[in-house]
Amino acid sequence: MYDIVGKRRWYYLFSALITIPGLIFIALGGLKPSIDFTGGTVWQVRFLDDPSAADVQAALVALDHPEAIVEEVDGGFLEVHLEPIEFPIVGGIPTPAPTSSPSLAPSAMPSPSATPAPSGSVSESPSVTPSPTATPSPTPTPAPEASPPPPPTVEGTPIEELVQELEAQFGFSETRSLDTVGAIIGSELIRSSIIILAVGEAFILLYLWYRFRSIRFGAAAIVALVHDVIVVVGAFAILGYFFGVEFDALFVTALLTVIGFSVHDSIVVFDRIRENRLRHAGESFGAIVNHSILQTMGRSINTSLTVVATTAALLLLGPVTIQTFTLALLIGIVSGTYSSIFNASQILVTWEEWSAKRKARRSATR
Amino acid sequence: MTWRRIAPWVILAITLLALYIDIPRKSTGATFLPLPDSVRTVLGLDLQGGISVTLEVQAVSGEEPTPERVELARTIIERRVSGIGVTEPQVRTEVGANGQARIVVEVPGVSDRNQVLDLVGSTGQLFFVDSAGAELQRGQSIIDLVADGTVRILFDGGEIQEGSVVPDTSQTGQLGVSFTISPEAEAIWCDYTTAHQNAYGPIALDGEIITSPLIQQPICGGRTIITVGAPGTETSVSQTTLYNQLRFGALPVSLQVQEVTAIQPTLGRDFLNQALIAGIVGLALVLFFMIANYRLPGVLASLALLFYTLVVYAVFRLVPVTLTLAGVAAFILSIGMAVDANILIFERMKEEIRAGKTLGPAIEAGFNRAWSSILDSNVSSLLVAGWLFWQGSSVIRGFALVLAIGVLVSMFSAVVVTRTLLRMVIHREWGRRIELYHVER
Repeated sequence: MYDIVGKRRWYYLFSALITIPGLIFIALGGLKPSIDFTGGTVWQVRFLDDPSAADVQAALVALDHPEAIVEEVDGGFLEVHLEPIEFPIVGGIPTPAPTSSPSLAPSAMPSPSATPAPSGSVSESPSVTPSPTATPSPTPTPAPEASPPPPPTVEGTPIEELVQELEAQFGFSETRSLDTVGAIIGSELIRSSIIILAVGEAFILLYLWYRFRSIRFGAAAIVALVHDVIVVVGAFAILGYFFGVEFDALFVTALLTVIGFSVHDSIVVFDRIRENRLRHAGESFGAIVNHSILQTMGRSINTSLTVVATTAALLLLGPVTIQTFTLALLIGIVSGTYSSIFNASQILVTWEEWSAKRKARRSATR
Repeated sequence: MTWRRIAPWVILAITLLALYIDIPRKSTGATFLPLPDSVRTVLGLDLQGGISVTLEVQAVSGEEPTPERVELARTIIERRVSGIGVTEPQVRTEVGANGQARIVVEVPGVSDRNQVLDLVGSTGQLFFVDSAGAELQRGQSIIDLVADGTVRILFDGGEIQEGSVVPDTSQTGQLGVSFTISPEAEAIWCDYTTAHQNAYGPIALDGEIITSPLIQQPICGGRTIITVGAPGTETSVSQTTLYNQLRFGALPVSLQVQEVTAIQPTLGRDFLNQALIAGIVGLALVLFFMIANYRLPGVLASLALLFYTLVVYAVFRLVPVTLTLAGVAAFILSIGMAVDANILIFERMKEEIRAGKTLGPAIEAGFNRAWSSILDSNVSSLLVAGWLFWQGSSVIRGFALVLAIGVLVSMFSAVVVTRTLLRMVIHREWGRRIELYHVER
């Protein structure tokens, strides 16, 4: 029988080897947040005259957008990166004084002969009558929300203005996609993502604590999934550092999926450990964990393979926009399978032996 | 009747029901077996293309607008954008993490972002219309009507005096809304209502006729009341709606666009097609893997997986769940994870056979022993999904919903469906041949 548990120091070393570079690159600022987090504009557009990226960039700089970055992407489209587009504030203004456009101007038309008819027919349809309630109509009071009048009308939207300026130079345009995110929305996403991840992990810890009647199982599973999160985030820090790969809002979703998968794997092994402890009560904890890992190994690898198969299909055939999402999943799922076998279960053994030693020492001193 | 006896029939019934729900009606033109309109596949903006605008409600002079006003602004915007997209737009309010209220507008299937931005950012325009007494159909375009000379504008909502609009009841006990108008408008209104007593005085909002009230008496000075009907009866326009529109023809809060996302419908369709191809390839790989690895049980697990796919899709259509790209990706991924329970069970089954059990008891032991692992891992997934659904933004909520539906259906398909199929099979002579179970010794 293979001795997996006995070599656990090597697994810890290996885990350190794959997490430390990632941590270094995270510290070096390798993580490149997308506009989902920083705010900004990404605009995929092409023009009739098919200008080069440099031409459009120069035009944008001339239009007071010195931050513009333009790259060529597939299908003859250009991808333009800008700061978030600022929109004017609208609404909340008291209705302006009667200003109908000339074509619609009311004119006091002489009334034709009035046809008196008996009123009072009760109809379910709407009707207008003078109101009986002699409510004294208050003299127009300034509305409480009155504010210094902002520009009355905005000639087109800020995006439209930019498009028109560029079309004047490069001909008709076709926008394939446009995404502009204000800085406020972006910055709060980071905070809420971290909270979501942390509380999600806390739920898992509590559930495992409850189910396995020991905080060790919960803690070991958490260590394993933190390992997986570091591997994925670290991989993106490295990719960001060298290739400028960005992570977006979906990346957080991918991390959550990885966490779920990693915990699945850990639970399956833990469950076996719990069962084997009852059956082989005499054996050492290390031996029991060893059995359990070997018995569940087939399942762990097979499940990983099916998930990797679907994820790889998505990565290779699916849309470009979710490539970072699927790549994060792929890395995380492989890491999750590894960590549940070679970290979570091994930590249980280390913990057990450490506490056994401590108990022995304590009873020896007594 | 025990569960074992009825289970196959229950599964068959669910399969047929899911198929019935899944078959697309509109695109195939299938008119047989009608379905209610509420049952449909709802695609997110990123898959059907369209425009999403997030507006942040601004404090005016340091004063936060009340939730009622924000809701009112939402209603006004919803009215404005309804009808310009291929499918109905969604307008909802959210509270951002910075505590500011937001209005999120999603208009699927359109590519003219300026049309949407103009509608969202314009102040509402109300018109009283001279139709020469004719009753006008709700929803007619005021621009068309003016252009072909059917109507004239009498005056606009700006003539309604600030703060004079109140919900009211007429002498005959009808519910309505009353208001006063400016002296200039009053003269015009007096002429029109005198001339067209017992005829109609239509009202248009944001370019469309919204109601054509009957003029019961000339209105010359004082308050005008527009009634909508007796209390408790069904009316063409509700008192609250009319009140809101008269009182707040213009947006009642200040808004600033914070986020705009526009995706060309063709691009969205490309994404959907690519995702579907990836899904089919992924499903085929999993089916192949299961059959190659587990033989007969693998075939049954594959049937259960097809059952899973049908049922999950049916649930998506029933709820309906808005499928974004992330949601579709989660669904495809869940196909890989759904067989996890089967793999657990089959691996356990093989172990029991190797340990000397005969087929029948080994199958039962496989299911029973694997159950606690399946339960624990799925409950932890459901906990995370529940937390995400409760806490997350709309994108994450969609993902969590897909995840939760997937987990619940996969527990049923992997455990109940596979088990029932296996029990049926081992009653047959051919189904008991051990080589069909691919047990390596």
